[in-house]
Amino acid sequence: MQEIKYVGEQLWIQSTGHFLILSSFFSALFILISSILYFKAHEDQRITWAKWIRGGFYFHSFSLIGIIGLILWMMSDLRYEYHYVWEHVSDDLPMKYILSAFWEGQEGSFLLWMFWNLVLGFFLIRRKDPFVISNLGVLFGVQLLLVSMILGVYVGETRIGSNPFLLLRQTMDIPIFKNADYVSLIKGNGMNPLLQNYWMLIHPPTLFLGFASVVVPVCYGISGLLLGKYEEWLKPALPWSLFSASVLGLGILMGGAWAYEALSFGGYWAWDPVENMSLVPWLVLVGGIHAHLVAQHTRYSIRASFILYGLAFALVIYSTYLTRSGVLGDTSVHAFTGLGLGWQLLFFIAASVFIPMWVYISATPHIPRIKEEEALSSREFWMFIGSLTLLFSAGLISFSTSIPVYNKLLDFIAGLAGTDWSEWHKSAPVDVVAHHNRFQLWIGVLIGFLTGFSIFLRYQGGKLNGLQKSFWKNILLNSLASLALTILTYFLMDQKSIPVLVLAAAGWFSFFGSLGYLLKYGLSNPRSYASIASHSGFGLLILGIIFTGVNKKNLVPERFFQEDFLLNDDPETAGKHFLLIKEQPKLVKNYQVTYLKDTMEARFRHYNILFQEMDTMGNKGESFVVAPQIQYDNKLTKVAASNPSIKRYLHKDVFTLIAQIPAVQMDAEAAQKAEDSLKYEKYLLGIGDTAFGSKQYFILKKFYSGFAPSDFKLEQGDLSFGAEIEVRSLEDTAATLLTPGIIFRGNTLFRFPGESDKKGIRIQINEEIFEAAYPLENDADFKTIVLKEGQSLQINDGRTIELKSFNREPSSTIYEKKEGDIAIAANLILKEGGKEKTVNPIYLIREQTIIPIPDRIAEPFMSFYFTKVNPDNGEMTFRYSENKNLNKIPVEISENAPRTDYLVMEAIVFPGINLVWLGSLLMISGLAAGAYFRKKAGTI
Amino acid sequence: MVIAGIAVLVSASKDITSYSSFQDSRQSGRTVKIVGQLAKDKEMEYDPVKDPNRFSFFVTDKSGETVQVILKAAKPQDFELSEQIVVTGKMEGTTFIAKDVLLKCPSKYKDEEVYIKSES
Repeated sequence: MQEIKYVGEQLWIQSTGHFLILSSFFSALFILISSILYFKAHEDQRITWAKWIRGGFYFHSFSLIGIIGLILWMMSDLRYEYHYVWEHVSDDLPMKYILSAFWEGQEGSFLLWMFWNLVLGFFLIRRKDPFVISNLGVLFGVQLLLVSMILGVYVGETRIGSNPFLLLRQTMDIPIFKNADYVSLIKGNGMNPLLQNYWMLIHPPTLFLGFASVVVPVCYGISGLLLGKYEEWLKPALPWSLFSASVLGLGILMGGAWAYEALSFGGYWAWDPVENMSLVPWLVLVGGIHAHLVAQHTRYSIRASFILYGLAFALVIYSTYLTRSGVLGDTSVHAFTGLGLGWQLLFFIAASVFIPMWVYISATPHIPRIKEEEALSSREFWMFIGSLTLLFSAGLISFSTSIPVYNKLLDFIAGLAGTDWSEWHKSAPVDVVAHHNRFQLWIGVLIGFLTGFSIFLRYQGGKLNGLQKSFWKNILLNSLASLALTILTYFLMDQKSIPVLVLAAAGWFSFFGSLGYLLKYGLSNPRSYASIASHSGFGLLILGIIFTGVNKKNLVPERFFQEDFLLNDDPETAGKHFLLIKEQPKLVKNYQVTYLKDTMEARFRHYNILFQEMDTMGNKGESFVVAPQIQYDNKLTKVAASNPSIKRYLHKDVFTLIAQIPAVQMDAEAAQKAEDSLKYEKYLLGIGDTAFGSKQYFILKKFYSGFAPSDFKLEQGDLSFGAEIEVRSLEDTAATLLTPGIIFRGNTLFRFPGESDKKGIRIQINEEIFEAAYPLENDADFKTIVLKEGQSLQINDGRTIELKSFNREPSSTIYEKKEGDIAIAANLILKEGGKEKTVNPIYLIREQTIIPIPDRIAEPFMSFYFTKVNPDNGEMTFRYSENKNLNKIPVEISENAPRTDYLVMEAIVFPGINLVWLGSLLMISGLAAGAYFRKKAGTI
Repeated sequence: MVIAGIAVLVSASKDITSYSSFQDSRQSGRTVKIVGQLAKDKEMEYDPVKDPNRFSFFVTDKSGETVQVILKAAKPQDFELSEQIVVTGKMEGTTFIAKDVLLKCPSKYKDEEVYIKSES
């Protein structure tokens, strides 16, 4: 195959990018190895090593930022010759989404993670604790593995990493690359339209900072255990774990809020595998934090803290494996296709499990262990139980979420054994939500009750003569308040269920426990804000989950006789969607709902739907309008997404979503098919004539020129005609007036059908009207005139024609200039009464032939030809014809057009959803406050 | 505590099933999950004016049996593009009544989809 010299590729990007990736990789390796050698080195040499390591850190940072900058540059410059750019960018992508496009792909999100590691490293390197170098070592061990994910280097047949700087022609083998000029021909694939919103801009960075920062407590733990400082690592590490938990929690919450606001499943949590696997590390991390707090205050649970943190980080890596490797397949709506990095990610998991494990095993004999067990009356005992509960919850969730991994493992082993065990594959639980809720409910109960009373216990409480009287008083008050509110909750619940009620009690218990603590001890101690906020937030979150779960209501119309009522009274199979016809109100539970209108704007079709509260007597209450939209893809050929619209109140949300629109509005193909299948009947109608259809009759009322539809710009030279046709059915007393139109612009035709959705009628003016209005040359009907520039001539009916001027660079909609053309247009003015009309026929000489290009007027129907030029005396000859006999208009009428005036939607009421947001935010702010206070108090 | 943990895990694992076939559902009468493919040559019916919550289509399961499925909801977006379908529900007579459907659509990244700019 001959070498093709490609034009327009900017290859410097690839070479620079490759170079920067390699330099990032090797500098990370350098830092890792140097940090190990640092500890083997002699005391006096260590300062030099430290300087080298810091230098390496800055070098690595510049390389990495260089990579990111380069990718952002090639994306904003639309360099589609690069695969990554082609994949995520298109010409019409608004620049504000460029960052989203950057981390839309796996390589980009790995870089985002590495970037956050840089930021973390930047802060770690400035600490004055003895763990700086060892922390950096661990951090860069992780960083090294991350850089290897974007290497794109081959070792024999195996590829390590996926290089973001590959050219499109290196990743795809398609015919277009035989063309040396392909760069100017390709267009970008573009970002998924569902991701072009502000959530994609804030959720990934927050979530990845959360994931990345989980490594820091592990860094401290490994450092502490390796350096023999088995307890000194605890204090500096704590603000970091709290920070990590608050950011990760916020990232998870954002994911839920995004799903609720923008996705069509109608909720904020679906127990989807990707959601689950971001929650699991967080649960374990929080468990680790509680063990850590115990260790800080009592020296118990040092091992537990280390193990839980190590586990949390390993779970982060496991979670990224599940998300990126494609193993989730059918079980997740988030199923991303794998990049083939599976085995690398598995290696990463192994490293994140075995290295901390090895550190732990070697260090554990030396970690101080307190002989006495924690007393039952001590805070640390119950906090430890709490950590175990959180761990257990994480384990349960991972168990069912990992089923695809179990299947894959089965296949792998079977493959080795040369057999097929696919019949042993398990599937996810039939009802994922019910499955998880069943167990997590009791976890919630346990945690709720634990937080509610253990907050009143004291550290080392066992040594302080057991439980004080004040403890029992607090518990009593808490129990009474909780009982009262639980009874209230019982009456507020639409469906009574004992387990849910117990959960509610736990939620209230947790909330009042924190509140009680705040009132009694917290006001004088701002540091306690952290745990008060976190635990009361947890209580509120539980209550929010209960109300939005149990009292969630699908608004559906009342049906007196459900067609399947007798066969099947399972409420789940009674549909949750309802149909709305434009401008016809429908009674849906306690609302009268009306589809008001829809408007197309760019890629969106906005719907306005009115909700009017109405009680059983017909009295109207409050009303609001929601605006859900249908989003089309970039080419406007298909529906890309349905975006909900939510009406928010303090105590509830009304969530609305369009589920279906008429097929012809959904995709261009269907519209074309429908259009092709319309049966049109042709009629020739004069003014006042009637055409009889099968269900109605049609009267032509008016025919005129100068039809000017809204949303359409008429141009000079357009011939536009419109008609008014009255439609009446045999029963109707009223008539509908339809106004079809047709516009001729040069060789292009624009049709504007008159439509009645309700009756399924479509009327078009047939294009034969052109020939009818402007019959072709028939010598007898043409008149000839001769004019000089500036001259006017009078013609029949008191009209004059003036040759005003010439245009030597004519352009017209039917004339396209070619090389060697000589063309001149005449600017003729037809004056009638006080009105003036302009017409510009062209005299064209092409290849020694004279071709007059006509121009026409719409009213009256006149055609003008510029036929002769006499350069000597300046006389120009014109021929014109006029059609005064157009009295029948050809129209086409279809009576079987599909209706387009309806939609199918879903409306859900979520009571108490603000408790979910408030509770979560409170919990996250408590963690953040904890980080702040611990940092202030620390040696940092 | 360990015993309690094991007990819970055993209970949790009861929820885990295998992907079934239509025949399984017919015999057991329970709600099951069936993985299969959309039978694109068979008709799909959705008339929201008549019933917005009834969408009928045909699915071929792993054992090769093709059965009519009725989904008690609106027709999902991009339904025709799906490569694989997971329906959850149970058999009633000769049709499968589904309350849930999960679609797996093909990857965007196909060679043929490199677009060429128009010349004009």
